[in-house]
Amino acid sequence: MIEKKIRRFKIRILAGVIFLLSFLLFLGTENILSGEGKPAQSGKIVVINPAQGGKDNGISVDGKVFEKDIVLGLSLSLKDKAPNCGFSVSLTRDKDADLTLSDRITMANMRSPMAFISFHVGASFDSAVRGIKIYTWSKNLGMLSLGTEKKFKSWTDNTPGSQDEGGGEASNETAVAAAGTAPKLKIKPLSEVQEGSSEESQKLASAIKDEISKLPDIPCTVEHAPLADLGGIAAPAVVIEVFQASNQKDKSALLDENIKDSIASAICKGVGNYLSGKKIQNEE
Amino acid sequence: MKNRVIIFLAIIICAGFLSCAKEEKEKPVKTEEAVEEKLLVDEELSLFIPSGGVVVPHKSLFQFLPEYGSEEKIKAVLVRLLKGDANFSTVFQSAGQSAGQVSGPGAAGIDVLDVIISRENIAYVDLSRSFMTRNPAGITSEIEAVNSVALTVLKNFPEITGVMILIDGKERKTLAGHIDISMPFRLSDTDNSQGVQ
Repeated sequence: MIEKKIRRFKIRILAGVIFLLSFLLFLGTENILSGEGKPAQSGKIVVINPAQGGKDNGISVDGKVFEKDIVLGLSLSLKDKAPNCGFSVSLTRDKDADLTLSDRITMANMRSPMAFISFHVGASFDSAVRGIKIYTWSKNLGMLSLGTEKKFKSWTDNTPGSQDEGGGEASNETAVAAAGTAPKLKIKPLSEVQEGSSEESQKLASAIKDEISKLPDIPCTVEHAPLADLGGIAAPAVVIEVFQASNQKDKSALLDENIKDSIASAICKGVGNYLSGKKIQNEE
Repeated sequence: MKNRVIIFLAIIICAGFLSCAKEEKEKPVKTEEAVEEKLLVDEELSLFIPSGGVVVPHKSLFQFLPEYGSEEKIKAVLVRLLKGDANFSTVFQSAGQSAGQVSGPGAAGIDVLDVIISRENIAYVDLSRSFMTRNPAGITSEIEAVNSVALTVLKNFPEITGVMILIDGKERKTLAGHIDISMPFRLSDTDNSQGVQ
């Protein structure tokens, strides 16, 4: 009789523990689904690249404020907000520093991020063009397509000095070299690295665009181009061109801290939503 | 008296011969000029001009010498597109100033240093550094500049299969830090619904 009671008691305790664990598990899933108000998870690292820096000021917005400062401010703001959106941010630079494109790509790939975002400020030949443009990598550029090989011997030798040092690194870099491992093991053009993530990059861009589009009077489009920032990134990756400094209205927005803060929040939510969706897919 | 008449007639006859000979020499020159004027070939081509974040075709009349090959024609077309002339003011002349670009622009317009076509019909277009420094330096403006040059060549000269942009005779990884120009651009096989971007 007493043994029976003890057995029932044990079963009830066990059932209670199972119920409690199930409840906690349910709460955890709810947090992931909501995309906000959850603590950062160690595995969800997003690398943010504030473009330019150091000697490279980038675009001048008003003669005093430069692209390098605006993108750094946005990146730091996003880093602060990121834990509330369920991810953590790793920056390629957190201060005014000179970095080559290769440095940035290598840093990003070595951190094995779940996503990569590069911030730029835009400008157009036409001052009427305005808004935020989110780019994913593509070898296509409108009606054009970037070729994969050159066929003119005198320009294909890749002899030292045949390329201009200022503005571009050698075109025969390898993905493996960018990832920081021995380049002799595998040779793959940088541009082919991002091709493997193109579908996920498109989802990431759409998720960010959905959130930015909720902000009033800020046009936002997703576009595609053979961008050097993205070609070598072995993760879902986008470039966000934050406003066009050639447009007067956008120029004012670039100098408005409240607008920039709301954009950082929107990007945070967008990335959080994308990573939540990714989690669900992985579980399935 | 008789001698004087003979001398007079001789002078007149010589003068007549000389004038005829002179006319005969001038006549072919006039004919040659007329032929040359006739042989200048009129061609209406499209310059792809940046406008509204895309590039828009703009018809322009060219007069080429008959002996001009594709290289000379492409160079002439790009000079008008990038440097402008008496009849055409190009957007590239004032570029780089509206965005308050850091790198100061040099002389107005962009010089076309050379155009060479490879055996595989890829046009190597060598432009002065101002094509890079006068760009407003946004991704959008780089896309506009690359599209403008490459489409102007590829759409007007169907024999050209690709356009490789060089700056001061050298390859560059990017134009002004964004768009990959390390390889030749070709016309895309797939139709992009965004239009002539």
